[in-house]
Amino acid sequence: MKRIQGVKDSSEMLKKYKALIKSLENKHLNPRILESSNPFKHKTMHAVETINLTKVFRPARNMFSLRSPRLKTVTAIYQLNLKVRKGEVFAILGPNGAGKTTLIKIMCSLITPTSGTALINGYDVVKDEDKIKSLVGLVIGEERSFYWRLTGRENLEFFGVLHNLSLHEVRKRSEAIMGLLEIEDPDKRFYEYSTGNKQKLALGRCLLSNSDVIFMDEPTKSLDPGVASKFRKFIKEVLVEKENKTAIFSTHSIQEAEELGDRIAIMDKGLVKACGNINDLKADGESLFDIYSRFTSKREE
Amino acid sequence: MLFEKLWVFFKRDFLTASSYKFGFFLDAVGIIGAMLTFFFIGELFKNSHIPLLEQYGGDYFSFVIIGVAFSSYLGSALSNFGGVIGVEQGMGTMEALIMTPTRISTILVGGSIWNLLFTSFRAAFYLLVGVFLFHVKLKIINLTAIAAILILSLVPFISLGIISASLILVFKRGDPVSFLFDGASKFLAGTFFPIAILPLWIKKLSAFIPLTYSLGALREVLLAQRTLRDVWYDLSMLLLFSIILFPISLKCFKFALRVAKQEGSLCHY
Repeated sequence: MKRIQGVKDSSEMLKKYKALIKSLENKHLNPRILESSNPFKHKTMHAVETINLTKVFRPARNMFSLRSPRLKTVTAIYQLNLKVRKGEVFAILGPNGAGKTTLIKIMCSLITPTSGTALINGYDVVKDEDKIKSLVGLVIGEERSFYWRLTGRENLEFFGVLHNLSLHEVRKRSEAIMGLLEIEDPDKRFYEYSTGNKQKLALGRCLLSNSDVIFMDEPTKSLDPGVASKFRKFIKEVLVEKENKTAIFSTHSIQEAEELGDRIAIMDKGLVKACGNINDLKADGESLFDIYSRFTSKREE
Repeated sequence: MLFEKLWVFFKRDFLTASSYKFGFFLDAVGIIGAMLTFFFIGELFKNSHIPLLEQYGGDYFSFVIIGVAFSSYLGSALSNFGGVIGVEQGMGTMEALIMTPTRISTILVGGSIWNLLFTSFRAAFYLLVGVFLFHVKLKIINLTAIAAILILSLVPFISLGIISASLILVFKRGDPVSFLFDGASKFLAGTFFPIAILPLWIKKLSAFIPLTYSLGALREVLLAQRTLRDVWYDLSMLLLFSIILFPISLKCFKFALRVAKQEGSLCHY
């Protein structure tokens, strides 16, 4: 591993470090080798970065066949290279089975990649798992991720404390968040909530932790068009523009990707087929629907 | 912060359990029903002389109440951790929990507190009903010995519980540790009868079950006024189980967590 020697001043050190990365990139060398000695992890330009990220799933285990060689492995993500800038809304658009959820789960340290590197604000999702959990928030579209017998408020209090907030602080914050998101009847039990309210609560839970980078796995999946539109507006105007957070969301709705994403990555079968802002993608005059259809194996109905 | 985290886990489980009021009621009825069964079996043998029970004071009902109260208590210490993983996976909340900057060990302990306190209460309820309604003569004199037996019994059971949680994490269902140590140990450790009655080859198996030593020592202390020195062999066996099982359980759990994350099955059930 190369070392940066003879450097006293920190700004000089940063310059040298960047120059070294540049020179390695120019020589087609992998700058990851410097990752462990990177003193400016938190100052990285990118909120999210993946380098040759690959995830291969092996067949599920059971008690009697620990590993069957006959069963095929599934490559969910293959050699994925992505960069998401800080303060950006990034859409991952793709059909079912494209690898969107796997990518998000890897970024949240819920799944270990098979090879390659994934970084959040310069921190490795495997090696710096504890740090990642304080940097990242996940809005899970799955309504079962809450305790149904508890009220909305009790759920927020529970998860807030697990996010290292004191009870006093979490009560204050959840009150403000419930007001901001217009969550109706916070003292109703969760199972009595409408789907829209449940989804708002999922976003509220994520906001409690005040994470820098927010991942959303199909956040408007089960919302009606009116609520979904309000939800998207909130993400764009409050979360990103006002609070300066980075938002990355997966979707298979072309309209949603176009409406919300500053940039869009079209994924299929574990590969990024196209990535860029909407104008770059439409450079040849094609509609996003045509581009999406060209790159993906199945047409979106 | 740790205390607040444990508190919210307790509050969550208390609120959830108390929202099922009928379940609470049935649990209490179940305890009294089970005790009545043993009471009448005890009545059946009341005037008979049973030499195998002599070292425990001679009364079958007292013997069995201690067996039932403590084996269910220690059994819950065993099944708690696996239960926490299984329940969170089943409810779909595992992912949301793991996403918080809270250690998985805190999640396991926090998720078990309510159950552990509830089973402690249940064990105490068994004994209190036994003493006040059915006139069981407990000799709660040697508190140091009782505390030592309980603490040394909890460590191997918690360790086995962590191993059980590891298996649940990887295989989701079908946990042989709970089956073997919770189910079979009630038979092998002599919850309902003295193990002296068992054939020699089964008695040899009993020697590998921590509950055998816990119940043996507790009965001698609570029913026959034995001292710490009298039960040193049982205590040293429990200590040995603790020394062997605790580090193994931690290794198992780390390994299982790594496997589940590699397979992406952390939240599957």
